Amino acid sequence: MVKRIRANIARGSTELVILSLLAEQPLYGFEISRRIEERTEGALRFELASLYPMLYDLERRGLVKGQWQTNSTGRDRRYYSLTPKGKTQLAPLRREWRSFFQALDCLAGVSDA
Amino acid sequence: MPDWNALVQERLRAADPPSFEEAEMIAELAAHLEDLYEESRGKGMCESDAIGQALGDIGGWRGLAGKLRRARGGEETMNYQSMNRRTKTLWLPGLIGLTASMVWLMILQRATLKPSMPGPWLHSGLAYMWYLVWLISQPLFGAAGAYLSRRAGGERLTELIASLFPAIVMFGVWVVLVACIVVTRYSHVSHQWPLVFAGALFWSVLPGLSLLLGGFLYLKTQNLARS
Repeated sequence: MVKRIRANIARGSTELVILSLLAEQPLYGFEISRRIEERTEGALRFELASLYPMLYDLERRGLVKGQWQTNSTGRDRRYYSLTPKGKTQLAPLRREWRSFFQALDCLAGVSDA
Repeated sequence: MPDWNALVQERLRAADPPSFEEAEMIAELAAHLEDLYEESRGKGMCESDAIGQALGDIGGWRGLAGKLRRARGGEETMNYQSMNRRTKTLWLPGLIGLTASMVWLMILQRATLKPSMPGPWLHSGLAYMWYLVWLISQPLFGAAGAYLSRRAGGERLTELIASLFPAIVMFGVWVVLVACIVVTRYSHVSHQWPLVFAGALFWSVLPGLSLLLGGFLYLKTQNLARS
């Protein structure tokens, strides 16, 4: 079991996490939070209070777009998908985080920890 | 099962009345709580525990209301961030360039214009070499402004404005002086306009070009080095 990551580190990576998930397929808020929890084996968990402000912020910045659709259970949910701007933003964001982890690895040897 | 829509609407409006007129946001948050509730019920949790579990995801309604308002409107954070960014990329580099340039001007004047100096020196054009030296050294201050702005993450236009900043301030001072002169003693200076405009040329236009040259050369060499 992976230890829970400290909140401030997790917060900074939220944008990358959400954009990466939405690059695969459109998802609604609850699905996003569950996907994150499953994929990270519980290391990352976004509660409603941190997830939606981030989604609205991304939407305001034109990186994602929300649209009401009916889900598999017949309920209306707001599905988020990446906009063209979001797609172009994702690649440099990934590079930035990769460099950050490489730098951190050089300094603190995090990959061996 | 509770009416999640009504619950979210009631609690958010109570926490932050003016911000939550948006039915869409309320419906979305209610849907999330409904999914959480359903999930807990699916795991065999009793109704009251499932409701408690769903509401536990909110934390505090007031805190959530504030976060949502900022995320939707973005005014407070954006204004603060852009102000902070502008300070770091423009105002600070500009003011440092201006201060350094003025201190250098003062040093040059004090070094070359002393009353104790011999008359021939004071009355010859050489005594005013300080201006030429100051003007020639301006590209350094322009480059410094551009460097500080770039280091703080400024964009190209901001970097150039930061390098030009001392000349912009001097132009502002010149405009104020001219306005004062025109208002107070227009009849005395009306025949001296060429001199007044020469002031703008020597204290704003020429230093501006010199500063801009420094800033431009610095940015050019940086871009070449990067490519």
